[in-house]
Amino acid sequence: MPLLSPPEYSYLRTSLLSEPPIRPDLRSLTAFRPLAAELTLLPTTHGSSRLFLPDGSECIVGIKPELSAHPSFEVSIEIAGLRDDDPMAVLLAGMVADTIRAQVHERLRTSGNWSSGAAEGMETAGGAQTRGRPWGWKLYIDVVVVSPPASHPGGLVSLAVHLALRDLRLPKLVSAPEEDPVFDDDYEACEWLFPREAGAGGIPAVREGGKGMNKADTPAVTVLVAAVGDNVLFDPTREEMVVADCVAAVSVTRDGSVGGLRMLETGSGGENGGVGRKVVNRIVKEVGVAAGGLFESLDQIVRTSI
Amino acid sequence: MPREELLSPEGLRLDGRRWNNLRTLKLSLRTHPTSSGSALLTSGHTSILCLIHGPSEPSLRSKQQHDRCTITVDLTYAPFSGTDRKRRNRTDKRISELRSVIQRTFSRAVMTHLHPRSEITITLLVLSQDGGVLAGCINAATLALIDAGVPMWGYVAAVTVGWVPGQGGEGEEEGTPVLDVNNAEEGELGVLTLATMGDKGRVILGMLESRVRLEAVEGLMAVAVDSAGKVKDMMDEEVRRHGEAIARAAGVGS
Repeated sequence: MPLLSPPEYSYLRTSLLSEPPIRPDLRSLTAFRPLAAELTLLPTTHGSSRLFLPDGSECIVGIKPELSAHPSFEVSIEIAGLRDDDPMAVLLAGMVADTIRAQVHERLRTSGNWSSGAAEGMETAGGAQTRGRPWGWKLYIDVVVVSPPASHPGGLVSLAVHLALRDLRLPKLVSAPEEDPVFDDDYEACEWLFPREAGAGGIPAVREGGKGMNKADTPAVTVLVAAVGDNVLFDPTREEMVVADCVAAVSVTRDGSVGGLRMLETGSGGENGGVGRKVVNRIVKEVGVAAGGLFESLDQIVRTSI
Repeated sequence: MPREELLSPEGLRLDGRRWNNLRTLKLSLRTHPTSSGSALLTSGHTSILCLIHGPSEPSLRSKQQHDRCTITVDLTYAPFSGTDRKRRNRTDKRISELRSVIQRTFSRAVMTHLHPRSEITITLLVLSQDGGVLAGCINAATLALIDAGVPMWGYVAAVTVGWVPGQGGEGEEEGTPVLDVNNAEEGELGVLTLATMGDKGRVILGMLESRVRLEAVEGLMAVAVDSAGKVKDMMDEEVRRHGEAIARAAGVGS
């Protein structure tokens, strides 16, 4: 059964196309649905977050690190009511991993004792598994979407993973690269994977509204945007996605540079199917502009959890 | 692990409890208002979320029964729930077994004849596990079903009891029951999970998964039935508190 009847479809589409556009919940085009979040909630993880929307979509993320000679990470997603190998879960896991790959790899390479020069020398020497290899971390990022989602969970999952990564603390390695790994047993000595402070100035950047942080200091996020005619709407609901010309998942970093774009739906088929490239251009531009505000609100969430 | 480590000569357990101490039990109802019913149970470091969907039209025609409702149980262990990261898929033997146990228990406890041709789905999510997962699942499901307003014959309250065997010395007692086992104890001891229904201590589920001495069983049962009654009282207290809060918010009641 289709989600919207023909009159509903036409009414919603007309109101989104009108000038100014009217969304059913009276949000502005760039507004997200109200998000509520909780950090550091799972005792058996090193970083965790829970994010929920008023429509009942909820997602819990837990991150566990494992000692490894090759820094890497793995994302797995379980969606309630869907099979493990459901294409939606597989696609989402790939999408989230692509989004955060650049920043997480960057940070992992400087964590543990990978940062030491010896490490790089050894890696270029063919990566031979000799004794005395340096140790780093492999992250397991596990996402559970708690209830069958009322709208596409892509945006929700990405934001929750972002928050969990910023909540992630790794035990401090105190051994030298050539020794077997030994950790500081003081939990307080754990190091944040993503810095809470900007540069070496020592000013808690998060508390200062994130000023002075650069794009590698926080993982990128993916936002869902829909285009209806000339309008680009952020965080579309399920109904809005049905009437949209196209829905795209766009990943964006702190400084507003767009790192990836994935079309999730491209409206109706037939002669008028697909969208013009101007629309795609506009989507990319609008996301870049909105990134600043989005990261500021994410900083706000992290700040209140400190 | 030798007996002395599980139970010190002073009678203290690994986490400092005595044999008859429950871990701190935190219960909350209606944590997820968009589902028909929901509850979150935290017992020590075990934490379980339960969501109820229904009674509603069955998702599959084959699940329709003409004279009663079908109970479907969906159990998920979050990969990060244990000490080591472990991903279990839905066809995991252990999960299937627990699902069928929970499903059978609640098929007896729910007044299924009142909702013919419908389905009630119990979704359980284990967020963190430290022993007593089955008991936790049952208690969480009871609370969530009450929150959903599903008619039941009575509270289903479950506890786990382990048996620490004695040293077999002359004049020494045969062993000690320990209530509400944690993960370390669960791995070492014979553990009985028992659920009762209603006020009269009627046993609706008993599951003893490892070997214990025959003489121990009676003692285990007695402790379990008794403590299940206590757990039932705690659940009842929380349900009443929650009901009062709702009534007050709606402007009725005292």
